[in-house]
Parts: sequence; C-alpha cells; structure tokens
Amino acid sequence: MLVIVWPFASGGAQTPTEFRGDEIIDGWGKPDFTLTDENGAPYDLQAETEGFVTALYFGYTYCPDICPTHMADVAFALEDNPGLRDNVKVVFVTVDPERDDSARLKLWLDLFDEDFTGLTGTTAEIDSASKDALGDLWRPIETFVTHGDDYTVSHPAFVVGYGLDNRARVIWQLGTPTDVYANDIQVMLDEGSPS
Amino acid sequence: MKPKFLFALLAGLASIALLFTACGDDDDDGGDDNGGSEPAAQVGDLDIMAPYSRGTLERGAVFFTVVNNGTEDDALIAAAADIAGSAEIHETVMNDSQAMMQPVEKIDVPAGGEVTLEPGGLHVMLLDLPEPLEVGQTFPVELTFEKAGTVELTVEVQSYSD
Repeated sequence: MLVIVWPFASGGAQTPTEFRGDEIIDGWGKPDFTLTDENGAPYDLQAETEGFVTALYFGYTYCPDICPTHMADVAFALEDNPGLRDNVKVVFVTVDPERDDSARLKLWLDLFDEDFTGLTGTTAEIDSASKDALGDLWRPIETFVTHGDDYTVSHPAFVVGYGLDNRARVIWQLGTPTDVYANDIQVMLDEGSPS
Repeated sequence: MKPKFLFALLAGLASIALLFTACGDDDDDGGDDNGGSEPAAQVGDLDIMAPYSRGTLERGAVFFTVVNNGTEDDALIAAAADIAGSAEIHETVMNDSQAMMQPVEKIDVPAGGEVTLEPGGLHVMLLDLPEPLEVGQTFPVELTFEKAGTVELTVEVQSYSD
C-alpha cells in the first residue's frame, strides 16, 4: 500500500496551492440561471454567489447513497474548517422537480447544513440550467421506473467547484475526502478574483 | 470550450489514497480484506461481513460484504426489512461520471469469491421508512440467497461521515 504524506493535510501551517480534486483547465463560466430556492424565493445563481467559492451539485432527495454522501462530505469539510464556511456557497439543484419542491429540499438539506441552498424549477428550466452548469460534462437527465409510480433519476456523480473568478475550476468525484474539499476551497479563496 | 482534466500525479495518488480511506472508514473491516474480523452472520458457506445502513428521510440503504467460502456459486436474490415499507436490491451504475440507480434481480456471489455492497455501487434499498433512520439505531434485515437460503442480521445506522 502506498503511504502518501500530504504536506498540507489536516491543519498544517502551509498554505495549499494545488488542487487535489480533478482540476479543470480552461473551465467554463458560472451558469446564468434563476431557479426557486428552498424557501420558495427566486435565486439568481450569479448574483447570489458573486464573491463566494461555489460548490454546485445536481441530484435528488430520493437518492439513497451518492447525493447524501456528497452533501455530507461537503458539510463536514465546512464544519471542520469554520474559516472556509463564510466564503462558500453550496447549491444543490434537483434533477427531480416532480418530487423535490422547495419544502422537500429544505427538509432534506437541513439534515446536512441549514445554510445549503436547494433549487427547483420546471423540468425545462433545470435541463437548461444543468447544461449551462456542466459544460462538456453534461448528459441528459433520464428517469427509470423501478415499480409502480416509483422511479430513480440519473445525475452527475460529482460536485463542480467554481472559483472567485466565476469559472469552473475543479470536479469533486464521489468519495472525495473532506480534507480535499477543504484544500481545494482554500486554493480558490487564496487565488482571489481576477479584478 | 474544451475542458481538459489535469489528472495529475497528485490527483491520481489522491484517488488511490481515498479508496483506502473509504474502505477503512466504513467499519473496522469494510474492504476487500475480511481476514481477522468476525462475520456478522453466516448461512451455509456464506459469511456476511461488516453490515451498516445509512438513510435520509424515508429512504435508506444497507451495505455489507458477502464472502462465499464454498465451492458453489450463489446469489443474493431478495432482501426484507420490517423497518421499511419494502426493500429492493439496487445497483448504481456509473457511466461517464453519471450515476443511475436501478433494481437488479440478483447479486452473484461466486464460489471462493466475495462481493461488497457499497455507496456508488450495490445496495439493499429501504423504501417507505415510516420514520427516518437514526444514527446508532439497529434493526434486523433478512437476506435470501439462491442456494444458502435465508439469514437474518442486525444492521447499525451510521452517519454519512463514518
């Protein structure tokens, strides 16, 4: 087994400078969309997240393993690093608007962090938002009927990190350790915005 | 606008490191190497190792490893849990970094081999839980195998941070 000692792991004094998630070179711009948030209010993504590192995820609340794992990992990364918390917006967009209304999103996201934002809208709005948000990584959202009126929904199994430059900078795949999230958020905060 | 991923050495090593982390975090021995830990349940030639559950609201999932010590192939063909309205065997198929979950008829457990149910892969899905699962809570789950028959095991609910 490989033993890797990270020079900036867990509370080291050194400042991280390298992404440990999958870095995106020449990433696409932060998408311009307005959806409905977990309190039923309009949420303009660009306006609300300007000046913040943004972690954007597409999933659904009836998802039993991947979506809650991602949300929990991000939540724990921020809980462990309170210094990052005020500078990050975590936005969960449902790919299942039929079942995930604002109230449902709030109930579910509060299990992880009451400050997370949950967005819903019409199928067409979400389809368009996900295309803008995921660049070349976008794939059609598909549903699969399991039995009766129950169904599952396909979704990207990763979180996209947007920097203060409002560009997609890093992909966090399923299983990304919390200290990698924290590291990469710190990298983006240290870079600041290009202005 | 063609994003190129920098699958740098750093990222590659991080992925390897996290694989080990993920295994170690799930339980004392949730990974491929089950040597040294006691089975949570046994039926015929099958050992059920390191079961645990996670859930949100009315949905939950049960994960474990099945080790087949016998010389005959077997398969998990059904699961049941009184705590839930119903239980199904599901697989999350990862394709091009997209996840899609779907029911499967059975999970093969080859002779002399083992299969691990884990997040992002196979799981027993608990549907229509009348109450959300609480961390630390335990409940019985019944697994039925094609040849070995039915076995009951006790599953503990873990936090998503474990």
